[in-house]
Amino acid sequence: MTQQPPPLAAVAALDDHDGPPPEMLQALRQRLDTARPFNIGFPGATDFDYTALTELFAAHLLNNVGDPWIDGVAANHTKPIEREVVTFAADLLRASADDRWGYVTTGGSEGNLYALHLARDLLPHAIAFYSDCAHYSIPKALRLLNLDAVRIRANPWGQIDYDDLTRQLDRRRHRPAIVIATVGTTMTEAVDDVRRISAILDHLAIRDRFIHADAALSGIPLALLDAQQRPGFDFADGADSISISGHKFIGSPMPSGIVVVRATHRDRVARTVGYTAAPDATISGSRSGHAPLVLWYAIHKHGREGLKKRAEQARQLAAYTKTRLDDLGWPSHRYDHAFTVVFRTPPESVLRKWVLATDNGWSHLITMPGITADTIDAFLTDMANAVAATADDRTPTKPVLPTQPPSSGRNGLKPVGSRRS
Amino acid sequence: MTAATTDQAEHRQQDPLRGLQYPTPPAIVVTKASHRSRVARGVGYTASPDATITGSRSGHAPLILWYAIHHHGVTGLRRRAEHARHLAADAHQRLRELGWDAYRHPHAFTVVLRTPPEPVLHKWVLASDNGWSHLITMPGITAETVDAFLDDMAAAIAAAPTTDMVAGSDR
Repeated sequence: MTQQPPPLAAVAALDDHDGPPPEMLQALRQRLDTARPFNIGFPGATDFDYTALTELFAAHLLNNVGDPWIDGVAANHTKPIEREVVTFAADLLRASADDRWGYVTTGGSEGNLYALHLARDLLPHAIAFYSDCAHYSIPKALRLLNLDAVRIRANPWGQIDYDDLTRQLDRRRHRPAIVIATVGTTMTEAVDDVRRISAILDHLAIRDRFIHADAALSGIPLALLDAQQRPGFDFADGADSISISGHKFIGSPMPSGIVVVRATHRDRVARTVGYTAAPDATISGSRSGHAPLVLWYAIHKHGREGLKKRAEQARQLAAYTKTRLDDLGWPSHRYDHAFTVVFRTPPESVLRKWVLATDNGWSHLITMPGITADTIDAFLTDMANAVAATADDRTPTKPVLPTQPPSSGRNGLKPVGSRRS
Repeated sequence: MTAATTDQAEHRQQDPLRGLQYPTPPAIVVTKASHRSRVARGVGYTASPDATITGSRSGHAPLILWYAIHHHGVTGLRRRAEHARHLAADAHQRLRELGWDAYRHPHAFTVVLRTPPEPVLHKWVLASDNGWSHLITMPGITAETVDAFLDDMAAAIAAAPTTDMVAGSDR
């Protein structure tokens, strides 16, 4: 159990203050520096440096309020830059050039909420179908929107169970359907096939439908693959909306994301709902002008080829990890194209040092850009030592191996890892 | 969490854009803890319940607000607010002396005025709606800025003394 923080109470004695206490900032830096090298379980790229933007962060309020395509009265925004970022994502996600709209969000969750809000406005009587391995923000958004929803089984490695999806859709063919595909699940980085979901809906003659792809984790890296290599998940494959994360693969110092939708959907809703010429087009109203700036900087710094190379390096490192775990005889799994390697939860000594995500006897690491081969080698050395120690031991303290793969966990992953304090 | 209790509202949203300096839009929401515990959902792998709307949340936003709170202290924030009110009251008073219809709520930083003549609108970024505009004397807006705006207003009114005037206002 994590340590419970003290209850919120009035901050004492701010009247006779001496300014921001430097020792607290120092302690924060120290905690970040100490933890950083061992965090290999959570999917945020760390190979960035936005020092060039420091002055814009330190002394400018940048507020991209409302629609990115309508500049508004005040000049303190980065909307032209935001439009570039959305266009970059829309191009990668193969959105039709004349049927695209989007904005920079606070993260994948807001993108999911926006897209499902749009879907509900288009199809008010729809039922939503989502995978057992969907991100927690999906059921949350469906609750917020008061949408009827059916949770669909996932296969042992986290992909949506297409047979169960077909059966559940078939029982409710009289209602419009909103289907959420997960493009990179949190635990195994499984990718639901949007082409196949689209074909199932065709087969059942469900015409009133909306497919949302929650591609927070894998949208950008998969989109960087050549067309014949990439799984079906984008607009050309049948998606109506896609949410991606900015702080996962691209890398940003604060959570961020991009949501892209088909503009015709949005326009249809805009007419129906009667928005005016100055539409409150987003979920959050006032929006960070710094988040688009950071993503724009990263996109220009790396370029499309640089991003592609970066993704390829991450995949190679993940493949290498899998091979080495195989050599150790330690059970593991990795999808093609995945940065995620899932493996049986390591012995206690490894868990104490390394921050992994763990659920029901399985753990994972993610070779996000910023994780180096040296880090992975250090982890694998610790694994080899722990495995050897356990084998020599022959005591019954060896952990009982789970019989089920990771997707069977009902409550998501349990954090296990360094608890230095 | 502690409770924010008023008769009217059980959720009180405070928008720090309008009192503290902050480079990107944040806000703080406070709710009764007893309400919250009914809706928060556990999410295992993050070791923290899914208690918010956005899930992943900026760690820089609290850092900046914390820095500003400590930088000013309660006394400093109060002084800042009083200065802003003083500027707003002054702007309101001087607009009325120019004979230009204007309105200000007690304690407000906002001065609502009849939408100024074109030359003023070209130069100054005001929020305008249905014949009314407003200015807000947020910290960072100086007395010199307000002076310059009022000079432009005076000049524009003198240039077109009969247009856009609203007679008989007692506000």
